Amino acid sequence: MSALAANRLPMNRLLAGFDSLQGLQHALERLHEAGFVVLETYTPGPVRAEDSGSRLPLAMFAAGMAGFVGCFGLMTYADVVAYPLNIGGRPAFAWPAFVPIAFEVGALCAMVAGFLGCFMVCRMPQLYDPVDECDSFRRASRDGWFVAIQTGDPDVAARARTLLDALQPTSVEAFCA
Amino acid sequence: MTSREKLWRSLEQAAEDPAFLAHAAQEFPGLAAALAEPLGRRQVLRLMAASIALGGLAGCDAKYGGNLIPAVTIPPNIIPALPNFYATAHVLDGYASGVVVKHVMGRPVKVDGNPEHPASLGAIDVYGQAQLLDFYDPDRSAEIMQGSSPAALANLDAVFSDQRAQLAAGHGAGLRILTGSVTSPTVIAQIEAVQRQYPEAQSIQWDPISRDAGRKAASLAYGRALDTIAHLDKADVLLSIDGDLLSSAPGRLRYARDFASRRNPSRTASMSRVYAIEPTPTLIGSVADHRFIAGPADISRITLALAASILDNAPTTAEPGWLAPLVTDLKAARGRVLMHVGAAQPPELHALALQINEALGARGVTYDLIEPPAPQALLQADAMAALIADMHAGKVRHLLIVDSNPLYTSPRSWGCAEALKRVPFSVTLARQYDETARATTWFVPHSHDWEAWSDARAYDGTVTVLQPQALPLYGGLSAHQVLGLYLAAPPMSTEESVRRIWAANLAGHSTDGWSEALARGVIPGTASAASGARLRSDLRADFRTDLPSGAGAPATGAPGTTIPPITAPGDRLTLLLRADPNLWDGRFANNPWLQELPRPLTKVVWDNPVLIAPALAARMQLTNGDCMRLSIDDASVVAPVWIMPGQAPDCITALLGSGRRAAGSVGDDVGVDFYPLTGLTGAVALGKTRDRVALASTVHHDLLMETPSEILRHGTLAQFHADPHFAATAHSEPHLYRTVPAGPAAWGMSIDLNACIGCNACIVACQAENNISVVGKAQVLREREMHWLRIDRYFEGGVDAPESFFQPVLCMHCEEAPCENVCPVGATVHDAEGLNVMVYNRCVGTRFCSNNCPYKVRRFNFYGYARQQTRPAQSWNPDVTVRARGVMEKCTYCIQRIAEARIEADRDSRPVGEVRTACQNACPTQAFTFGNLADATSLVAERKRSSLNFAMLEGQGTRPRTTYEALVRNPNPAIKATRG
Amino acid sequence: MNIPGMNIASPDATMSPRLRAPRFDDPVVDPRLTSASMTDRICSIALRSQSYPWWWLAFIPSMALAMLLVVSIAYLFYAGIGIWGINWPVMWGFAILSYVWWIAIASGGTIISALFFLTGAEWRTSLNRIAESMMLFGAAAAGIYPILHLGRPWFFYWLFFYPNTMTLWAQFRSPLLWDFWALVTYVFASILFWFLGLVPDFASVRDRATGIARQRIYGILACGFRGTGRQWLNLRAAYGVMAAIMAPVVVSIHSIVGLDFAGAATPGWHTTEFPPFFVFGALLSGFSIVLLLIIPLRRLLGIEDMVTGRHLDVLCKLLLTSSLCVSYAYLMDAFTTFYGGDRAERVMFIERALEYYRYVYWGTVLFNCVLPQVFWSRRLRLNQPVIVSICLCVVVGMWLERYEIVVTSLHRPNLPSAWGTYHATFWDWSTLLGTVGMFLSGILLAVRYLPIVSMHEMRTLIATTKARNGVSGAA
Repeated sequence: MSALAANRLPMNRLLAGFDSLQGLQHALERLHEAGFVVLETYTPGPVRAEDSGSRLPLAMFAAGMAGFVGCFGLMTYADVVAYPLNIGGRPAFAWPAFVPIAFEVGALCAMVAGFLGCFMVCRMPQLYDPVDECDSFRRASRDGWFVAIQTGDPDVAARARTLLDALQPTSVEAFCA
Repeated sequence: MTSREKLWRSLEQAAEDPAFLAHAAQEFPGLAAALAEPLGRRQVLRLMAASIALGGLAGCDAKYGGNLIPAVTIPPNIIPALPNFYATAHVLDGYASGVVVKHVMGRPVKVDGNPEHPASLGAIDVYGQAQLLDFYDPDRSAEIMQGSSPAALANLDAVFSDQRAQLAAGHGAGLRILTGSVTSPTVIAQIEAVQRQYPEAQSIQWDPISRDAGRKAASLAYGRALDTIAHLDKADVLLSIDGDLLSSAPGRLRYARDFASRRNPSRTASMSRVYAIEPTPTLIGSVADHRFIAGPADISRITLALAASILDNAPTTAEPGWLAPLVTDLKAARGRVLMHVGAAQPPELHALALQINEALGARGVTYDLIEPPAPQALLQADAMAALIADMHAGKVRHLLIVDSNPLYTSPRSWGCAEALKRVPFSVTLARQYDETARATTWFVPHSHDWEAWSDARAYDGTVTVLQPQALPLYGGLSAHQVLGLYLAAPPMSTEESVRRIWAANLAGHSTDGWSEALARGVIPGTASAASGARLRSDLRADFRTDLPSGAGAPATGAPGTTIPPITAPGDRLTLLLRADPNLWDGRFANNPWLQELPRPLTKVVWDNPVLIAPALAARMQLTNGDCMRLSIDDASVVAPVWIMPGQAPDCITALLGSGRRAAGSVGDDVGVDFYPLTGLTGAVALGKTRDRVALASTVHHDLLMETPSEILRHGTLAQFHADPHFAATAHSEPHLYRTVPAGPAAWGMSIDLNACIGCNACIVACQAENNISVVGKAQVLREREMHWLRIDRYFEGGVDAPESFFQPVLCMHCEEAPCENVCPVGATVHDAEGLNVMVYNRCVGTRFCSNNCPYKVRRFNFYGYARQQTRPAQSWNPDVTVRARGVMEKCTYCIQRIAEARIEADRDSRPVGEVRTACQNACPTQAFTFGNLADATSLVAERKRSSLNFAMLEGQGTRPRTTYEALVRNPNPAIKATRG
Repeated sequence: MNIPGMNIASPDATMSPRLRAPRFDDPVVDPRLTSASMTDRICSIALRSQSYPWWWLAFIPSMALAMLLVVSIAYLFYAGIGIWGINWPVMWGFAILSYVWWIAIASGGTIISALFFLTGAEWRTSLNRIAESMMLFGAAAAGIYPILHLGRPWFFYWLFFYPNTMTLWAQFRSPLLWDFWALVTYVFASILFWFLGLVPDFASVRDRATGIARQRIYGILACGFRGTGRQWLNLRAAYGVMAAIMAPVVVSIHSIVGLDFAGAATPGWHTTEFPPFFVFGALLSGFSIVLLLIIPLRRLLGIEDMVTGRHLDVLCKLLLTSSLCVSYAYLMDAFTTFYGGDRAERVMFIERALEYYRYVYWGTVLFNCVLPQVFWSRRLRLNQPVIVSICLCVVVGMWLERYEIVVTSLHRPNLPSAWGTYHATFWDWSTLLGTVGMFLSGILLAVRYLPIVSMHEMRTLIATTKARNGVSGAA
């Protein structure tokens, strides 16, 4: 374990790893029952299969619509108000011709909104996190299912360790934040 | 005209100031060398620099004396940005055609026809317009040469002073003056003066494009030389035998106008009928109602049969089948017929034609005989041959050659080059340091017609005074000045000598009469009167006997040859040598506009392939571009061939004037020189070679033998009488969009296909007016020519004897222009007056507009063509943008002229007046009509109401502003079978 | 202590399973594959200290071609587009037809990665990353052409509409402008879509990386993704919606490319079938290029247990299907030409099929319609040499199709007086080959330095298949 961290702060957190999603879920239930503060889970894949509860899709739809309407409006303004030109004897407000560009711009807005929005709500980019100090944590992006809990004073930490050891974790590590 | 006189005086001084000429000589030592190299891009830039410098030299050299007006104060009657117009004339082989030169800030930028001039009536041909580039040609020589080294005018004076002494001693024995045909009374007077001083001196006039046959025929028929003037507007039936009325005859512009006046049935009550019998396609043949193909062998036989049946009412021979109906037609239209024989035919046929015309009572109605404008040797060719013989014999001691290039144009068999070596003292006066100039002991740069005073007669004798348009760009002397060198007495100013001659005709030598004559471009009352000469009674016995039936004219029309004896050629192949429709006898070879001008029928540019009949090509397995060895006797030439539908199978046609060796950077080694084959009477032998030449033609596809009706509509007079609207729009389709531009004017154009004779005048006019670049052979081969206006040529019927059609195509200025919708940056849009305008500065060059143009009238600057032009900067039209690399361009309806009219209208606060486009101005037949459709009284509006009016590719629904009047032909119902 | 991330060095990680001929009933993913072994293997490819020899053999010539592109562009800008073979009737040549060709290839990649993501096709998972890389570099190759083909390329920005001193706007009715915006959208969207999918895998690579440099580079690329619940939730959501947008975008761009032609009145172009016709073309070229990429890669990278016979079988079936669609389009093209009865259209089509450019036309038909029919046979669908050769033909055939659409249509316009012919010049070819080099170099770099299989999606797939097979999720 990290000597550097040891002589600075008290080890006030625990990171427990399990070798399967089921193991992690079971552990989470037990921890909740015992009233521990579960900080975060670190998993190689989504914990819940269905993607529900994210507000991003709504944001992307809104951005897309804004882009479409805005672009369509801009073209209408340009051709009807700002600088009307006789192009091949066609009417100034050639709305069918405006649709393709408006669609593309709308789609672009939605994509950008989705990308930036995703980074925002995922708190990315965040290049350092205390949990990185744990050596076992590297398995989180491979096949390890981890949970991080808050353990204020040493006896809480001891209780937590005993509870977790009962759940056959692949690893239990203390770290500080 | 005060400024003119002042300008002239300074010119006089400048030209005679040896210091100046010396200066001019050493001003551009490198130029001659530079021009010798082939034309690369770097080279071109250097040339441009050189020519600009020359312009500067003309403009701002102290040596011109104090009477040049500095640019800071505006010269009188020159208003910046407003053009001035000065009348003068363009002289070709002696015959003048009136022109008006447009000046901007004292610089000539455009040439138009002179409406006051009988030979022009406002029209102008390609040569006249191309004068602009000849005038500015950076290849024009600027230095006097003695042998091959530059000399100063002083040396020339010195040499001439002792030459005068020598000549005077021998009464001028051995003095010969060789010129082209001269009609200029002033020059003639001067030559006479020289001959008075040196009684033994002789003057020879000679042109390689011979018109001897006509003169000889007149002397046969009337005992003396007479010129024939046709009045085609009076002719109900016109029979043209190998005719050149519309292509190369003097007065062709006037003839074209008269011809067209009888061709559109919706305007003329009685449409004329035109028969053409010819061995090789000509302009009049292509627009004739009946074109009969007859080889040289057949022509005289047919003409004889014709004569027999008309002159002594012999029963018409059965063969060919169309002859009998033709004769009946001629007889029926008695008094309103004209039979015309081309200059290339032997004099006997001309004489027959004169006879037949008299017999049909046409004289005085459809044609007149006049005294020739200028005295001429009966046969120029004989005179020339005699001269060269004398040179060989060493009888010629002193030879002056003016405006003639015998070393290039004379038959090689005469050995002009060797003969010249035996002349101790010879002077060439020419614009370029050309083939002859390099062989004579002295060369003197010839000032351009726009740089000196002179005068010349039109085809009908009318005199025009040629007034200088600018200071000499390159120095040089005029013919008058050089002739002056022979007269001991100091010559008076040429203006004086010209004025003196016309004093009688002009109101008492008063400046007004003179000024008016200069302003109008004609001297009144100088036209020759009709001659009353009577036909020789003993004529008929005279030669028709020694003109055996079935005779032909071998190698006929070969310029400069004596008229060949008429012998029975059997089935041998005859070579027809003709003047090039663009380069004439070769004098225009250094003119890029003319080199890149599509020949009317072949559309070939930058080359002069031999025209052969499809049958012959099939027999010898030839395709366009295959090289053949043409040999007559021991002379031979290797040239590419071009398959010409409608060419007689027993003859091939070659165009003279290409293959120059000392024309200049543009014209050297372009095409093949056929002069080596002139003067030979033998049959031509064809030998296949392995070589091929890539021939650049602006028609890039194989022959198409059908004319799609949605493109070019045509019919017969019978159809027209049955239903005058036979060609007009059947139904008007409903249109989705109704936004028609509502401006003060609605510009539109109507093109009368009945009038178009495919003479190309409009193309050059457009090129000159709109600063259109010349791209060169390599680019034309890659289909990148730039002409905004092109004349499409279609064939219909069999490939051996097709009917041909001309259709000028320019931007149609569609109401619903397909090009506009597809431009992503709005670089081509519609304006309020219905113009489809091209915004060069906005163009990014996607080229989608061209892809989407059904008429393919858009041209693209694949390279920076404008920067590669040899013409100096001051020769461009300042009112038209010069387009940059990567930009699309197209016909603008001469928007700069429209803008000018708008400005005038605003200034005088009146509705916009008449606007004439460049093509319309130049057109000899008034095929183009442009104007304001909103004004119902305008001519264009009237023409659009014509029952023949139709839109090209109507199905595209583009609603073009440019429409056509359908072509109506008037075939003889009796000979429908052999139609075409 | 044992650090699981450290076992890259152990040989078994990179060792590919026993080689055997692919079979149609191969599982989508080899059952013996676990999240751990899969992750380690893919990461080890990206983290190799020195490249495979074959990689250098492929990369050096590709890079040389890319350099040729640089030279061609430099000379083009110096001399002008006159150096190309384009002329008066045929104003568009290689630039446009190669653009369409590349865009089709890119679109094919998108269709696999986005469309089949939405349909939840399992076989798509392991191809996803290759397809997306193909999309990215294809779009890049296509993207340079619209600018190069301009007569005055330095003014390309006039196609954006923005307030300017001349108060000028773009001309929104022009299909070219639609196309320009479709391309802009497509390129940017592709990059975003591609990168968002990469983030979790960068995290995996980061955690396996040894050496400070690699750890930092991949750490920065991973943007601090740690697989927290919130990250998984939102990333999956965003990725899903992005896929849902990419699908219509890719259809739209190729339809709009079709409209570049259908929007014109030119004979041979003026037909309403072009938009779908072009999408069919995109499918065909997309599937063939994917096949051309995975067949060597699965062997060279030892991922035959992730890209199995099942994949080949499916892709060949799809290729056959799109080939049938394209054949239908060709048939309709001929039919409408003669049914429409427009003279110019008819003349143009006859010239196209029988005259100067007939080899182009019949080559197109042979390569795109006839040859793919061999995939009716299941045996040939799994015969890799056959697949490769057919796909190569199809790629060429698709290029010929564009040549036939662009050039032969233009060389016979309405007026016979404007007919012409087109011949490509050296610079046309050098530019085309240059873009090929650029594409290959890009793909090779991706293969070398990126996780070439989407690991996080594979992990899910492995888990679900194991669950389906009732095996315990134990690693």
